[in-house]
Amino acid sequence: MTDVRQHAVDIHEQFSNHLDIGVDDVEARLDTLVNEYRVPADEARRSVVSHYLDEAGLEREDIRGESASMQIESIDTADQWIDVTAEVVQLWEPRSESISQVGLLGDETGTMKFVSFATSELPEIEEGTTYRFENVVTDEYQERFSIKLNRTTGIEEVDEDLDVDAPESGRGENAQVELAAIDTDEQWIDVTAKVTELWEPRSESISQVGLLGDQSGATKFVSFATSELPELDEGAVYRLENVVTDEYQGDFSVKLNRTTSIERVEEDIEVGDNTVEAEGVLIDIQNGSGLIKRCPNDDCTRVLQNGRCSEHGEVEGEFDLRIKGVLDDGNEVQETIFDREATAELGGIGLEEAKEMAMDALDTTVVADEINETVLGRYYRVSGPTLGRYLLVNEMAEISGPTTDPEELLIKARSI
Amino acid sequence: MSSAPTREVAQRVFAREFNDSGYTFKESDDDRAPVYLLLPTGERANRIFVVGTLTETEDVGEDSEYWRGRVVDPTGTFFVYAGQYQPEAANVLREIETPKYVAVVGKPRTYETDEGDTNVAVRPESITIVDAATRDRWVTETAGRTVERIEAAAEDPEGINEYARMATEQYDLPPENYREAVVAALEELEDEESMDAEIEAA
Repeated sequence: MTDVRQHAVDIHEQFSNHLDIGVDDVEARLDTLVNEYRVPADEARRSVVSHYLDEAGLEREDIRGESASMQIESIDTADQWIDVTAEVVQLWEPRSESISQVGLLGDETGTMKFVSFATSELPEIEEGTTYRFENVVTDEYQERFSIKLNRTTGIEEVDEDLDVDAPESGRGENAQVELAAIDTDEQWIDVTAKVTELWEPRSESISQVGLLGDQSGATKFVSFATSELPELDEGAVYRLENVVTDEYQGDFSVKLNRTTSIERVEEDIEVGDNTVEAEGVLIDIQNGSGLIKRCPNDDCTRVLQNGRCSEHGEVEGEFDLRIKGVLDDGNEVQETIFDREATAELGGIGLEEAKEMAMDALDTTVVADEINETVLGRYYRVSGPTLGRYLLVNEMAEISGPTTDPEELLIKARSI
Repeated sequence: MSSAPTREVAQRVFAREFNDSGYTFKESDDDRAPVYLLLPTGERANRIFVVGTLTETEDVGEDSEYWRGRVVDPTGTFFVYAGQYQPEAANVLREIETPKYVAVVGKPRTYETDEGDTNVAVRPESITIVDAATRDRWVTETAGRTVERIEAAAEDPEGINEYARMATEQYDLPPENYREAVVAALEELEDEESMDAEIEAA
């Protein structure tokens, strides 16, 4: 059987209770996409499934996927229906009312974030308990995978003690990481850092929240009430073993948890900033640049895609300006983000002007187009802190004229 | 877990070297795997960045618009082609009044001529108008990068760098050839500067 035929059979199976369609119809649709329009098989399958969902008036979660039992480490595709047996390693404070539970699941192969939505009306799961989850969907956000529970998910407590490849087993073997070097979600690490700021927790479930700093920079930390950890003092330096990294909107933080050990260190740390400099040609301005809309929910501010927030669904967005640009010096590329202020400086367009331009053109993309024209292909030197793979631009200058003394280069070229 | 495909860096290459290249290759069997143009100085190019003078534009399309622009640097001419799948770049070529300094980001594309030769052209991702100072920066930057590649090739006669080895296998074009192009480009820049100085002195 060809791959296309196999996919067609699977899809036909999924819809067998809902639609009167033939396998050949499904195959013909897939074949057009894959063989005529060169759409990758996975994408073609997605698209054909969407078509039949529309036809049947169903939501994606109404059809039972072919869920295969998977281990956490092997999850590497979004929108897959799978079964997982995992322990609830940690429960976090949901950031929105639409989420009933959020936290970390773990099995022998690793840990992964999970989300359970209020609308799914699932039973609550408990920290430290192992469950068999059937029919969950994998999701991906900025290259991090997660597991979404949904209203078709079956949850069954399992009397099994999993040797979770996370806190307990990882204890003492974590890497000591500098705060500015944190660039991965859900990593178990040790840090030695100074508590530079303590903030007012917004929720009773959080016992402490604030900023940690070391030579390399500063990072937000959170300690949960359920972890029952000793309180940290502002200005003191601690060695924190077994904290877990978290990523939100490209922003990294560390979470203390019940397995974290805290030891006060009698030394002072000079807290550095993680400012870096980069120069090169602004070679590309990526999607999501120019006049954008952000989710208005507190603490969210995600950029909307077609009016939708990936966390809160359809919302009335708030306008903002930003540029995601790529600097290229011929040897390597540096991705950068210009916030509203930096975008105004770079492109010469402020938020109000951008809104007017979009209003006149009845199109928000005119803003990015106009900025493209004035900045693409020019050389810039920028500096600012890094967050993940992005440099957040604070300072910028256009640079032009010879890179080095042409005379010197000429002498060198003649002497090869 | 999966990692984002790393973005291909844009190589800096003079027209002389670019137009001498004709050999392309992929590094995996995947249909979507990037295509690389092999530069004679021993580097692969999936993307290039060029600043030069757009001297001429012409709609060479038969059924639909297909714009060709000639972008000239101190060593030769880059041919840039934009059609319906590069609407922004095609717009620029349609509207622009030549001559202008332009910055072009694009992918190398090879094609066979009626005579059976392989020619190489640029399929633009973007074309923007820039000033002379940006162009001067590109000339010195490209001279510097080209010198680095020639030096690396000279220090690697065994062909430890796989692209240097590939270049000696595929081309009969010693990297030293492009030293002349670098020298010519830099001399032109010097002449301009001394001419500017003379004009100011006068």
